[in-house]
Order: sequence, then C-alpha cells, then structure tokens
Amino acid sequence: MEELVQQIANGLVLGSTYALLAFAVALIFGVMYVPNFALGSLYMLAAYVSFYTMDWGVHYLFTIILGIVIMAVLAIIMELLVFRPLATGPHASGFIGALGLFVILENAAFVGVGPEYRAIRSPYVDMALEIGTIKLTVQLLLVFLAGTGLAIGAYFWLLKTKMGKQIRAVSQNKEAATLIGIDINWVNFTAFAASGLLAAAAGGLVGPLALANPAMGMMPITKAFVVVVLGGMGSIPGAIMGGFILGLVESLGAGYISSAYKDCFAFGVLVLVLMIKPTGLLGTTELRE
Amino acid sequence: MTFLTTRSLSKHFGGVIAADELDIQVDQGEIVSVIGPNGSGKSTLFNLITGIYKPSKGSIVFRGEDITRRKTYEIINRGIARTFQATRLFSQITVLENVMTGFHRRTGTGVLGALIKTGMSRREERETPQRALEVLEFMRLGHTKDRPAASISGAEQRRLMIAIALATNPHILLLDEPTAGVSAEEAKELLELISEIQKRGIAILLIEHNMKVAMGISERMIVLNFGKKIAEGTPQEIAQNEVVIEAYLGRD
Amino acid sequence: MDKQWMWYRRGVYLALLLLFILMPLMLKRYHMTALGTGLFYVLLGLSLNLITGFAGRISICHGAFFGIGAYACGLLIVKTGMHFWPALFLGTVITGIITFLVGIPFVRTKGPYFAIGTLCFGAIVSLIILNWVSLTGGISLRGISSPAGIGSLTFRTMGTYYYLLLVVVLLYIFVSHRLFHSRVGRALIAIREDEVLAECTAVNARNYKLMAFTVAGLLAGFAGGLYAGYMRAIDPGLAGIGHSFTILAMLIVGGSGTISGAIIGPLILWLLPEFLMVAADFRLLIYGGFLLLVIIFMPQGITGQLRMISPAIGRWLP
Repeated sequence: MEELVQQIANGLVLGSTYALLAFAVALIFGVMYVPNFALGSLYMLAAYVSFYTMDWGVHYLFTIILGIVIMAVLAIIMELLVFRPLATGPHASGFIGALGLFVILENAAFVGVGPEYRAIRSPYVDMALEIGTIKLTVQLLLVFLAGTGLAIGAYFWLLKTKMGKQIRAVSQNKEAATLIGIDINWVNFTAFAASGLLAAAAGGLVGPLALANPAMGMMPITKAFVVVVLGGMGSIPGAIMGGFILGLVESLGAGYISSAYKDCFAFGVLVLVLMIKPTGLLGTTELRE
Repeated sequence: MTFLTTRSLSKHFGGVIAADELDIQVDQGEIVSVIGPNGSGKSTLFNLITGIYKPSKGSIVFRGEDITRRKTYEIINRGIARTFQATRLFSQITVLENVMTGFHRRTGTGVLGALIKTGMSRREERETPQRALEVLEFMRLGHTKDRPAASISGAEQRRLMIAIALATNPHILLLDEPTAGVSAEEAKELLELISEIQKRGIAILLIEHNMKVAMGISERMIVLNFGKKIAEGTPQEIAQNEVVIEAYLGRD
Repeated sequence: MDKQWMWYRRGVYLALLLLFILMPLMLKRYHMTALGTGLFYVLLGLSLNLITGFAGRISICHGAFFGIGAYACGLLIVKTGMHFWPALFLGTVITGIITFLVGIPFVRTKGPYFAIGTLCFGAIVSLIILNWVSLTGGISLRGISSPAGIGSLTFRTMGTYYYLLLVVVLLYIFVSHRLFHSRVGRALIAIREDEVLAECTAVNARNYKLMAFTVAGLLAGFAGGLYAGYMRAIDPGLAGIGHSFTILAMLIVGGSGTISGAIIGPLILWLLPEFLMVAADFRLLIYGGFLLLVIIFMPQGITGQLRMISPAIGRWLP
C-alpha cells in the first residue's frame, strides 16, 4: 500500500512536469502550427542554469526564476531568428527548424559542459515530511505544488487576460484574428516567451530529482508531444490533464510492469491511438488546409 | 437514367448549416450553373460531390451508382473532375508535368511496371506526354509546357487547372468560378473553351459569381442561398424570379 | 533535352563512376573506410528520399529501419547460425513487413502527425533494442560473420565490400530513377505538392504513401543488413533518434526530392568531418547547424538551390 502511494506520488510529480511541457508545446502549436521540439532544449538548459548558478551561491529557488527568465528570452530569440522566417514557408520547415535547434543546443551542451551527469543539490531533496506512515520528500512536494500551480495559473492567464484571449483567438483562426486587429507578431512573441517560461520551470523543478545531463530533454519533450497529440493538438486542458495521466501511467507502469521500458508506454500509446484515430484523440476529422 | 443527382444533401459544421437539403440534378452533356451570394454553399456542394466533405445527410448518385460515402480518388475515378475556387496547382513542376499527372486515371503502370519497363509502361510513358500536350493545346497553353507552373500568369494558371481536370477524361466537369480574377477578355476566351468542352460530350456544372456570364453560357441555372436551393430554371426564368432578385439585392 | 547532350551527360556520370571504382587505388586505408561508411549513408539518403523527398512526408525513423535490418540480419546469423546472404534476405523481408505494418496507421495521418508518429516509433525501436538484452545483447551485438564469398570473391576485406556497396548504390539509384520517371513518381510528387489536388487526379494518396514508406524501409533494412556484415558488430545507436536525424539532415542539406541531392548530401556531410578529423561530439552540432541554415536560407538544399540559380547547372543534377 505504501508502495502504491509512493508510486502515485511520484507519478503526480512527474505528471506535473509533463503537464508544463505539454502546455508549452500546445501553446506554440496553437499559434504557429509548429511542434516545437526545441522546448526540450530549454528544459535541459534551465536545469543547467540551476546547477551552475547554485555553484555561485544563489539559492535554488532563485535559480529557477533565473532559469525561467533566461529561457523566456532564449525562446523569444528563437522565434525571431528561426520560426518567424520559417512561418511563411511550408509547415514542415518549422518542424525541421525546431529539430535543428534542438540538436544544436543539445550537442552544444555536450561539447560545452561535457556529458557527465550533474547533481543539482537543492536543499529540499534532503528534507522530508511525514504524513502518517508516508515519507514525502519536500522536493517532490515542491515540484508538484509549483508545477501544478504554474500550469493552472498559466491556464487562467490564458482564459482571463487580454493577451491570453488574443492568443486563443489566433489559435482558433489566424485570419479572423488579424482582421479584428490582433497583432500576430506580439501574440507569437508572448506565446513563445510563455512556453519558454513553462519549459524552464519544468526543467528547473525536475533538475534536482533527475541528474542534469545534455540529453535529458529528448525523452520528456517527445513525451510532451505524445501528450499534446493525445489531448488534442490545441487543447490546453487536454495537455495538462494528459501530462498528469502520463506521469501516473509511467510511474505505476515502472513500478508494476517494467522499469526499463517505462519510456515506451507513452510512445506505444501514441502509435496505438494513431492507428485508431489518425487525427489524434480530440482532433477533427475534416481536412485541415 | 439520371446522370448526377443529389438528394437532401446536407452538411453541418457544428452549428453552421453549409448545405441544407440540396436536391440537384445534372443531365448528361448539360451545362448547368450554380449561382448565389457569397457563402451560399456553392463550393460546399462541390466538396460534397467530390468527397472532400462527408455529407451530414443525404445522398449522391452518379450514373446509377451511389457515391455518397466514397473517397475522393474513387469519385474522380468514376468520371467526375473538378477545379477549385482558389487556384491549386502542382507548383514546383512544369505545366506539362501537371497535366501528365492528370492522366493518372487513364493509365495503369504500377511500381513493377515502373521498375522493369513493361510494354504497357513503355507505351504509357511515350503517349502520356503527347496526349498531355494535346490537352494543353486545346486549353491554349501549349507554349508554356516546359515552364514551372508557378511561373505562368494567373489566367494561364486557371486554364491549367481546367487542363488537369480534363486530362482525367471525365464525364462531368465541376468548375468552381473559372473566371475569377481574370480580365474580361480572358473570361470570354474561357467561356469559348468551356463551350468547346461541352461539345465533346462532357457535362458541366459551373459555379459562377458573375450573373451575366452564367446566364450567357448555361442551359439551366440553380440558385442557392444560405445553403438552400431557392430557385431553378432557364436563365430567362431566373432573371425574372423574385426570390432570386431579393436574395441578391438583400445582400447589398 | 536533346539526345546528344543526354549521351554527353551519361559519359560524365560514367567517368564519375570510374573515379569511384578507382578510389581504392588512390586513397589510403583510413579514407577508404570513411568512404565505405559514407556509401551506407548514400543508401540511406536514397531510400529516405522516396518517402521524404518524392512523397514529401518527413520521416524521423529511418535509422530505426536501418537498425532493424542490421539487427534482424545480425541476430539471425549469431543466434541461428544462418549464413549471411539468407540472413540478409530474411532480415530485409522482416524489416519490410514491420515498415508496412507501422506505415498503415501513419499514412492515414495529417499534418505533423506523420513526423511525430515516426519520431515515437523510432524511440520505441531504439529503446527495445537497448533494453532487450537477452535478445540483442544490449549495448552491442558482436560476432557477426562476414558474407560468404560468391565464386572466388570473398567479402572479408573492406575493399571487396566497397565494390559490393557501389553496386548496391547503383541499384538504389536505378530504382529511384525509374520510380521518379514514371506514373508512380508523378503521383508521389503530386501528393507532395498538394495531396487534395492529387486525389482529384484519382490518386489514392494513402496507398501511394504506404508504398513509398514501405519501399524506403525495405531499402533501409537491406542497407542495415549489409552494414551488419560490414562492421561485424552493431549497436543500438543505429536505430536512435540522433542517427535518424543525421540521415534526414543529410538528405535535406543535399536537396530533398532529387537523386543527386540524396547522394551529395550524405557524401558531403559524412566525408567532410571525416577528412577534417572532426571529433564525433561536434558532428551532430554541425549537422544541426547545417540543417538549420539550409532550412532557413536554402530549403531546397544544395542541389535545389543550384537548380534555381542556373537551369544549366540544374540539368546535371537530376
């Protein structure tokens, strides 16, 4: 029983980071119709920001904020230099550009800081709370609360604020949105910054739990893609919920079925779903031109 | 036997009714035009007939066969061809190659035939460019044959779209606003060509925004508004039809 | 194009072929090894070109089919004692079947789902190969025998293998060329340019995409089996996303959709770092960088760009 609760707790924690990443992917996909693989690099770089700035004595929590700021800026630079020029071409170009960016950043990290796994010593990893017979590491709690809070907060931002509404308008119908005077450039700008923020938060929070290494972004971002496809490519609630569900499935699967193949669950589910519904679970069946 | 018939054909997009209980009929060799204000469902009708949209309700029967649930390529294979309102072409290849693609329906070489030059594949590879050139010359595009499709003029591109459709050797040709965006003189030339096409026995269902053009060339006209058929008849009857006049005036 | 020029061009190609045939006499061993491996990438580029170049669908799992072919062949040899040539044949068939089955759902997808689906499939394959240690030996599979000789030819040296590879490259070029200049090729290109319009010429897009995907996978699997016999030991990295990305980058940089691009891209991107002795770590960085630059500034790739600049040069780059 204790095992089960532990697995569920791990699953929810993992899920909150997947939710953040999936949110980020869905956001950019909504406004630009591009699956932005490069978010995985921002995730990884944020963890490294934590690692290095903590060496200089910055408190862990501040490093997360630092990571968020840096990655938001990096995301905006990506939008300006890569995605905006590619937006006028065929859709596939954006995807290829994102892949290229990811590979560049991942390997720049390999070359720059080396492939070794680095431990990020957050002070919360060693603290624990006891609730009855269950011991919860504070770090886990932090990730879950911060991750979930951020995801929900960002969702409300999307729903209630002016910019959020503009982003949703562009995601639904870009032409109509321009006709009513929405500045697409600003919308893209903000969407990218927000995505960078979310991806960086996920990376910074997860950092101390997983060891930081240059390749750490590949699996999570690919899984985030899976979540977004399954939840319906533009749907944010679908992305958030899907992230949590995936986290739980992986954690329970790793515990009870197989730890080595836990990464396969997400991908296997995707391939299966595509077999049954090639447009994704919540996608439409009409042609998108 | 009826040629092309739709019965109660409807298409709903969530709350929007794009096509509402359409009963349309085209007889063999006729020229029928479909007119109506913007958004009245004309292109939706074409998309329904050619399988690009799945009907929410109703049926489509072509030469005695129910094609309602068929996929686009199957429908084209049965002899219905179409053009699009916005120019669509295979832009990176030459004009001739565009039309050669249209010959897909009339030829049959598969992978095996492509790899080992069978008699059929050799014959088809020899004939297809020749026959494609004939179609191009009919559409007065012979002089552009080796140019990339993206590089020819707007009016030429619209004729090319028709050429590709003709290459499939259809029984009926659905033309979606063929004269859109071309000059008056080019429109006149297009209408002559359309008349020629009909003379070769191909029925034509034509969406036309310009009332005068439509009346000049059609034997029969169908008027849509808000997805419904509001009138049908000869051009003279339609010109005097009160419902039609109101629909157009009301939109001003 | 007039006949005379065509023959002239064939002469030039023949001369190029002669150059490649004479390479073993001109290059040192280290460079020959690099060229040999480079030819494998040419095979991969040519096969990927069928689905990504001709049909226009980005596939990021081509390495996975290469890996499946390599492991199928290698495992048949190591575990059942089969000889190389039957194992190569059977391994290719297995790869073809897997490609076909995976392709069935994928060709029904729209938009980016095809690419994402292939990405995930590739991830699954490399994870399985890596983790199913009892079957695949985990991080590496060793002890694959080299191909049995044909007549008096043995394949134990890299030299003979090189000529075998040249023959296979010519075969893949032949297949690509024949498909391109045929009704099938026209249908695939139509699908790439505008799938809906292609359907309006009675082209069954799903079937054609499935065909292109399957043939691409088959050819990659065959190349994989050859690779297993060449290297005698293989590792899961062959099927990894990094490898698939590399192959895609090579094709796009060379010029996706053109046969010459599928040859030039892999040769340049493989041989240049080899000859310049660039460390392995930097290579992916360079590939990513090249891909990004090309997709932004020269999306048609090297051959595509050359064609656009000058049709005269373009005639040399089919």
